[in-house]
Amino acid sequence: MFYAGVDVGSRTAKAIILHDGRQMGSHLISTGADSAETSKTVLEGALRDAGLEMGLLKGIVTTGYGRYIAPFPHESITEIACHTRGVHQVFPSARTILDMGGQDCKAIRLNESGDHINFVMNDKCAAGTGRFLEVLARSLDVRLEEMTTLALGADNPIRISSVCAVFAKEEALSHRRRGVPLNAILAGVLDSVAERVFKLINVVGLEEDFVITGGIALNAGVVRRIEQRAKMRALIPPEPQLTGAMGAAWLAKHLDESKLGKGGYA
Amino acid sequence: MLIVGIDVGQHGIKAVGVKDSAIASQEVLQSGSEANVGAGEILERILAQSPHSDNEAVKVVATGLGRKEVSFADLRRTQEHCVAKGAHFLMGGACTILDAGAGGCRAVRIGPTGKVLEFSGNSKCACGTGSFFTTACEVLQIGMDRLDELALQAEGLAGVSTTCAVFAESAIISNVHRGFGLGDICAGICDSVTTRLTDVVHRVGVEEELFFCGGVALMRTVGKMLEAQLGVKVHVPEAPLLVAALGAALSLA
Repeated sequence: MFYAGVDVGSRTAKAIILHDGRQMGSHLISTGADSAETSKTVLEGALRDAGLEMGLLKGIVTTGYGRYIAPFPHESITEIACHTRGVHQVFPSARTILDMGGQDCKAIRLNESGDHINFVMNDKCAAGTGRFLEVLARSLDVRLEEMTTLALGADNPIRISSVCAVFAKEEALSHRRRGVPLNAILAGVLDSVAERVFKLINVVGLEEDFVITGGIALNAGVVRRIEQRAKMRALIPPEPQLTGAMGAAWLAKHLDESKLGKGGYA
Repeated sequence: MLIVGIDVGQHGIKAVGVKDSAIASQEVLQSGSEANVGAGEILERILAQSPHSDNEAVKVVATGLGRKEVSFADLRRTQEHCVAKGAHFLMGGACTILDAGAGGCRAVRIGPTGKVLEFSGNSKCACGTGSFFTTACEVLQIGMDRLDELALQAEGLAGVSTTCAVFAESAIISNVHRGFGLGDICAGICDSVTTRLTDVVHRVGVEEELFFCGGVALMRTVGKMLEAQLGVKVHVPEAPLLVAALGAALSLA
């Protein structure tokens, strides 16, 4: 049986194909202006990767902010439910999840059955999201992927006192003009993100095992700083950006098998 | 004695010289340089313009977000204290003041004697500040004056986020892609800022008239939208940028 999970996020769209509990194919693209078109394109990409055709899919679940408007038969399930399920399948021991995306950030507590018992989400402010890093990287003229490396070896990281990305950008630039070394500023930027998201974790409470997912999980500098604050190591799935899509595909399988039908789950 | 009020804001430094309780000179410096250097420069200009004798005492009162960086200040006063002083001097009597600059906004309600009764503000988030306009202008590649003009003439409104300037930036771009007219897009930007400012004003309350100052007060569309949203008359002084600097100088007069 083949199932698909499609996660249309604010910055990237992800799709995976699940077969016999294994990921057969996946695809990731930037979210375009048209979310419906994006969801179709990313699903077709994943199907191509798996060498399958749409007709073979037994069920499709969509999630993410563009989940309702996918132009193919599907069920829509919340990001919280999909992320929780995606993590639970990979790390059954997970009790706390931090999902850091392009324009939002969520902290989720889950139980041993993989049900979410509490969550908190910031999708109103760019601070503590991927966008904060993007804005700061662009203004300092560095690439997102090289931020961590370029931040290494900073003896005196600066402290970014502004929460707002717009003000933080000006703050970072004024440090740069004053001749503060780039690595000290970048270290301050990474600290700032870790500090913001850690506040979210504190709202739901931190319990081991602790899992980090989403695009920022690929930023080793941010992850290390969160681990230092959490005083524990974080587990990171092999493809952290695909977690929501993975959970969606598992829920598609679950829906199909339990025949709960429309709106019966989450 | 000549008293110089210096307001170190996020995008510029403003100064007013006050002598015998009257304005002697005023200056605005759009500065990219360090606060202390810029403040020194603007003080020189004020001294050059203000009639005063060589042995006359000169006192400096600093305000604004960067007031702590003015090393030679004799006194430092908060922004809300200074706009209250400045607005009371210009208006006389009780009123509600809204001061919106590049780095923050604040509403202050003063009593008949100029005493601050209540204030509320935001300097943590770029929404409802001039920085929101700067960001929007960069996206649209137009100047603030042009944005204001287009918004003023617009009939419709293309809405954007009122909670995050960065997210609003993406919304502006998608409004362009969706084919909204430039005027409607500009009106949407002004509406977003106005909505946030209205929230701040509501927190302190307003009765008949709102005294609106700071760089954002130069945007006529915002003044007009404030009138519509708050249902009160909005009064913008002749030099809205200089109210805090004036009030700073007056706090020693």
